Amino acid sequence: MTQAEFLEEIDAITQADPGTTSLEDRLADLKSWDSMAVIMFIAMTDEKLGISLKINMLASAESVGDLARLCGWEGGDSVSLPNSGIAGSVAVAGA
Amino acid sequence: MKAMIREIACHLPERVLTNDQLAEEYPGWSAEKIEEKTGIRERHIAGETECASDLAVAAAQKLFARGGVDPKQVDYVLLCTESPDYPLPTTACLIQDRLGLGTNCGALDFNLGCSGFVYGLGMAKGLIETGQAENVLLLTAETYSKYIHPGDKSVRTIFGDGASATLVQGAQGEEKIGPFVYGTDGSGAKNLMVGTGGGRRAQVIDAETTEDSSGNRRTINNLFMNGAEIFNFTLKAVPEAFSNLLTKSGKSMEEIDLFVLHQANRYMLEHLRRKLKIPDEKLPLAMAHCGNTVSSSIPIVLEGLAASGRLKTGQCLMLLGFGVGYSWGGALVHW
Repeated sequence: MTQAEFLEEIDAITQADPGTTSLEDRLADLKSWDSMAVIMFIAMTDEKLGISLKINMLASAESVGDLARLCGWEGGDSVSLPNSGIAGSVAVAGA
Repeated sequence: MKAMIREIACHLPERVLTNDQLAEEYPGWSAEKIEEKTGIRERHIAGETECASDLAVAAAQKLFARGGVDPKQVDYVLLCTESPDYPLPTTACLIQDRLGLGTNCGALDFNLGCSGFVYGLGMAKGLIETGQAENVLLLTAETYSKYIHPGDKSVRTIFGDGASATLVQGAQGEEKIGPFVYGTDGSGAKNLMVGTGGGRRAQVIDAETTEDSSGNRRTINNLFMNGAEIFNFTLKAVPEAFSNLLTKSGKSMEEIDLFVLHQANRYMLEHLRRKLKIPDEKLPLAMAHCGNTVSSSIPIVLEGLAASGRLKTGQCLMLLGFGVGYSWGGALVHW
């Protein structure tokens, strides 16, 4: 998944206008970053990235960039591993 | 003698909590947004003096009215509830008396939530196929509303009260219920919990109300749910139970006619459906009118399917219940 695609997913989850979310945005400032958005984010990472997030690490995320780093983003154009479906869930501890 | 499901009847309390009512109380949440996010339009709420036994008795009376069994023929009552009328005595004993069942009838409560119907079927099957009972009345009844703080929208939008009554009888012929898979992970207990009112900690008088980062308010005496942790658990436990049940039964996915999952919320179910590659038409939903009714959610789906004519004799159903505990269970049922 590219960085742009990751941000598009966050736009959809938070019901923001497409292309408006950036990695620098603080989660607390996003329009609809609520408990349901957290669940939708978990579902997205499960379905499209094939990863299982530790919730305590997710709870400590403060920015969209933090979310991307939880998914394995290391600063390039690509966020995390290719989607590996049901059989390939990888636990991302974030530590 | 093999156990089979003979009849199912369900009951919802009269009082209704609609999304419009919730939207008035929670600024920023429209009725449409609540339905869009949860798949729930309304949920039924027990009256102030209405308890789990009242709901269970109503469901059982509906079942008896359909004529499948005389109350005096019931020789075992299993009640699944996490909101018993009293800490003691057993609520199933009170129900035996109210329904006019014979005193030669066994009766017990078991404390499970979303997995409860599957576990109840397993116990009913065991009782019948070991010759201990012939007509098992499996009841589920829950009044989670009594645990929920009015300021906690995270759970108030999701849970509804309700009950079911299922008649499980013995019959000659091939196996109709089974195999089963079960699972438990108590490390997740704290993620869906009522922390007082039991032996560990008594109810706190004048408990302090706290507010979480999402603006949900509750006290230590109220239901607490960490939705994200529950969802994460579901994503691991349900696919594994699904796969294990297919393996144990020797069946392929294509041989299962319907997948009846615990009705937690629509978003979760649709995600699971895509993850498990279940065709849309094979995963029925029945929560818009009642919310998450805990152990009654699976029988509510089954009753609705039967009433609409979607259930045909000979169909193979996969039931999967999962949630509080953490506890999960799955079973195949041949209708």
